[in-house]
Amino acid sequence: MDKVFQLFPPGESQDANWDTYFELAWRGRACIFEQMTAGGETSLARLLALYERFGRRHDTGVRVEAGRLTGEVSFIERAAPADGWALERLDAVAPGMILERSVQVPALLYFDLAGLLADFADGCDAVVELGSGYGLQLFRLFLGGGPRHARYIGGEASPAGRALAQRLAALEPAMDFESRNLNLAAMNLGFLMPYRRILLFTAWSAMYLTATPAHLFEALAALPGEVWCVFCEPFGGQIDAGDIPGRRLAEEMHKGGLNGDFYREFNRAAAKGVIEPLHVARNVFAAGDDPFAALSILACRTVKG
Amino acid sequence: MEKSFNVLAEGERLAKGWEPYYDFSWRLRGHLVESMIAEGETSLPRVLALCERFDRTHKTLMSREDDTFTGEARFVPEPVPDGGWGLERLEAPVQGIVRGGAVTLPAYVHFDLAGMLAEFSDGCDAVVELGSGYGLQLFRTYFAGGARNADYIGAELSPAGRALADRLAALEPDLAFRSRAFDLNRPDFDFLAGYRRVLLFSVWSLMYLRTTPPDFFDALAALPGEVTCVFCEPFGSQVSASDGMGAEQADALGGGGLNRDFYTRFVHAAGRGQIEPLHVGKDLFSSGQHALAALTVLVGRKSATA
Repeated sequence: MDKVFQLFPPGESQDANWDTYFELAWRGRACIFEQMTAGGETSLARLLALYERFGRRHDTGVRVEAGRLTGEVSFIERAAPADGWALERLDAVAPGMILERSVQVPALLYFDLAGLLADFADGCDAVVELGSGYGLQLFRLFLGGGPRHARYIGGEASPAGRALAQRLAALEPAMDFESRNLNLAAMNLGFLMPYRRILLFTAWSAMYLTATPAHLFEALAALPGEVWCVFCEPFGGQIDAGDIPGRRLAEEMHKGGLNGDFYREFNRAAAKGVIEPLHVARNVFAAGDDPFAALSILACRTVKG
Repeated sequence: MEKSFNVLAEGERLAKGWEPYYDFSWRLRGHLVESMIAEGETSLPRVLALCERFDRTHKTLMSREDDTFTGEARFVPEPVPDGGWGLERLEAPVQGIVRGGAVTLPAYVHFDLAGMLAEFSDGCDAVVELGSGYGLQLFRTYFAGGARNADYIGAELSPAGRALADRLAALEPDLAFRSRAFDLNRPDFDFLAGYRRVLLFSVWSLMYLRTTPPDFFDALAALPGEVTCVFCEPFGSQVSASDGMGAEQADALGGGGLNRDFYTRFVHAAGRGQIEPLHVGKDLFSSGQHALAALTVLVGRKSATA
């Protein structure tokens, strides 16, 4: 069923940019979650899965007129395949990548990011996502067996994203979760001072930084605790733009005004001895032809001076 | 942390064969789950994930006297690698299979079985797993967005498997779950007669049937409601044994006294019009080289007759 929400008062509009776009999109998503909980859903795990399925079966639209957001967010249902969604998905393949190799990837294959992060989070007393949106990856990480007594902190600039994350976290009272107002471009990491061992990660959020904040890694290394970082981003074009996927990704990132210097900063910090690089994996997994879907992973830990 | 449990009662001995082995395994798993709950775990998805991680990071040692299992099992943690488990797994790709082709895969790439089953459960009033063990796939299907108002029924022979499934289901009060004693060798589907639309599936369980009961599909066809069957088993070699993995898998099934005739029964049932075959996905995925890890998916549908 189509769902359309008008989220600004009549006559109001806003300049369209990444910030306002995401803010409105989170508000639209919050309406979908509210409808699901009103329909009786009480399980966080189910809500995340149902929303993911909703996203696959609907096209999301944010109306822009003359460069301004009108406040309308729409979710238009795609036509169901003749044989039903389940058979369609079982059959579907798309060009993708596995460990840099171009292959046809079945729609039902996935990279278990939550499992990876839960493994990295072993023994941490804080788990932090930078640019956490509505908390999807943090929730999946917790439900995927992340440390039970750690504090899970969603660092997010969007008020609507933070509010939705807080609302969803309330469904899982055993999880110690906090939404935190965090602007990736001007981060203050003081809130991480009390922790002994921190897992800090991003998942398709650092890509939106036009330029990586200067001294990001120095700020991390200055924290009293040990910080393990896992950056899950489409940075294959930064690591190596020498092949077709790399070149295409670098071009698309540039065209979209997206990040072009994160890997350089990572290497600079490593050369300076601020971080110890642990793993650089380029174009580990991509399902689908969207160049931004190609996951690269940069892992490091901070080095104490 | 090392954990140790005494699984057998005084004077009890572990018999040979798959059935006693699995009953024992689920009893042991039950002890592990109880220890997690005692430590404060309250979330079913977390307990399932923690069990899976525990299996990966511990080895199980069984105490024996005179070549007989004494009942004491110890879970001993594997040494944590230098960079932790995350780095270790990230750096250790595996040789696997994707749609029949050999592919090097990150250890973190999986086939979304639960997501697939959840989509097949759309509109169903019953979701049934044959040989459900302690309910893992049923629970995962539910959390992957399976039909909310359906009854989830774990059909399982092992009393310990059924008891553990019921114990776990109690952690998720909104899930309408029940375990049911069920012998795959003598399929009796009468308990499904009251349902309008059923998703019936198996996950690496029918492989333990030495031979498929001849009346398996007759019994299904006798149900009044619509039944969608999704069999997720290492049956690629039954579909065709002519490729590399096929011969190896056929040998592994034959050598282990495991099933070699299910696909023939499936095709015969289709020939008799008892089910409509909807999909045969041979060797869709395997993470690892073991011939019995290769997943083949057979989908068939029996229409409603009432």
